Amino acid sequence: MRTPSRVATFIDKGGTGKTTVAAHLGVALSEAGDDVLLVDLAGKQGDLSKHFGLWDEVEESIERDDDWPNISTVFQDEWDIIVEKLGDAAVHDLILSTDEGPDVIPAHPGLDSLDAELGNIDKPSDRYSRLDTFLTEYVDPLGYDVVLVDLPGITNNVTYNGLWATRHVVVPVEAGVFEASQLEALEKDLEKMGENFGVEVELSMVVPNKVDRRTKLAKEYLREFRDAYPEIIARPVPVSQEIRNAADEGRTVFDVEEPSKTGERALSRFAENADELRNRIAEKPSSSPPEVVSDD
Amino acid sequence: MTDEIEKLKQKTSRDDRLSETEEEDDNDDEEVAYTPVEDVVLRENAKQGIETLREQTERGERVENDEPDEMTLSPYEELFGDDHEYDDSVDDPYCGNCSHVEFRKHNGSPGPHCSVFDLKTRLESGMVCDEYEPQTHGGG
Repeated sequence: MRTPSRVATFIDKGGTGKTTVAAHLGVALSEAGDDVLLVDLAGKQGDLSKHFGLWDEVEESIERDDDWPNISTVFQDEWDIIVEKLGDAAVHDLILSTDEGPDVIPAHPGLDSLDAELGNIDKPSDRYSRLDTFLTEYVDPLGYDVVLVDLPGITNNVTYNGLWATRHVVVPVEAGVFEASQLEALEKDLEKMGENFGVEVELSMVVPNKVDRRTKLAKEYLREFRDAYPEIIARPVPVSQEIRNAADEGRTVFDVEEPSKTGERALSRFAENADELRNRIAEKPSSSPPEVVSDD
Repeated sequence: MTDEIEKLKQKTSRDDRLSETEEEDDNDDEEVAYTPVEDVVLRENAKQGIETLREQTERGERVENDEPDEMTLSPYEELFGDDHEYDDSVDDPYCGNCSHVEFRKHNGSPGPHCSVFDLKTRLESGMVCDEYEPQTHGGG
């Protein structure tokens, strides 16, 4: 059985393009021949599914009361029993196919109470490992090469589940002081996770996103990010209206027939970054169990 | 669908889980679970506090006193006066970005100033900002 590489897209900041980066890296990896599963934990608004035109389908299933089980169910105590009762369908029904290659486990409104629910679990090792357990027991056997998890833009119990499970994090940043400080904060968070829970999460890639090289500020921040993260800085992805238009149409820029110049440049940057990401995550597998887990 | 599966569905469906969470929120005695960073910060703070207390006691600096300390004004009260009644409908310049300021909400959710630093997150994760400055304008 292949063990998939797992990656999360995360920064404790909204609007940097986490979901766009997750969707485009997912398609780029898929185009390069990998079987990719995207998991949307980023919020009940379902932006990742919208990138692939799947959200209407999800909303219809909610209206029909045909939305159970869903991604929020896998975090519940009863999940194992549910799988026992429903069989393989419990897992397979969570996964939707896209026209662009990757499969997607879409978000669900049930995610909005998940942080509080997880907070009520006393043992940290149980509270933060629910996603890891789900991926290891139920997704790994499906044979994906890469599982890419899109996390919320805030640090909470759902985020820690994502980091705990994936052990690799891709951080999309815009050129700005808040991103720089949040990136530093994330590094400290990851250090604490390592020190206190034995869970080593690697900052695998910093992706300068929506870069407008016409501005001096963007150039300055690019230089700063390069100096601060020389080993893991990715090729900058240019700001592109084409990406926004494509998302609006329920697709990624990879699916646009004749993209604009910036769209084409963004596309090739995502492809290069996906290639580089694959090499990096292949060096360190995701699913090694924590060496030390403190429940103090 | 069998009764058993229907029961599982009800138990793990969103509405049911939300009502459980709300009920638990009402219970003040409920133990609070923390995020990893919060766990660490709290542990470190507690350790440091005990150490300081021990040192002060040893040096004779600390005298037990049943009298309450003189009431000090919070930064919010310093700005607006201690008789200022907090109005939930207006922008609150204090968004709780440090440990000594109470977290206030803007119309029930973090205000625009909060989104600058993602303060809800900071608070929930127990991380406090060393360079706190009141934000009176929105940002993003």
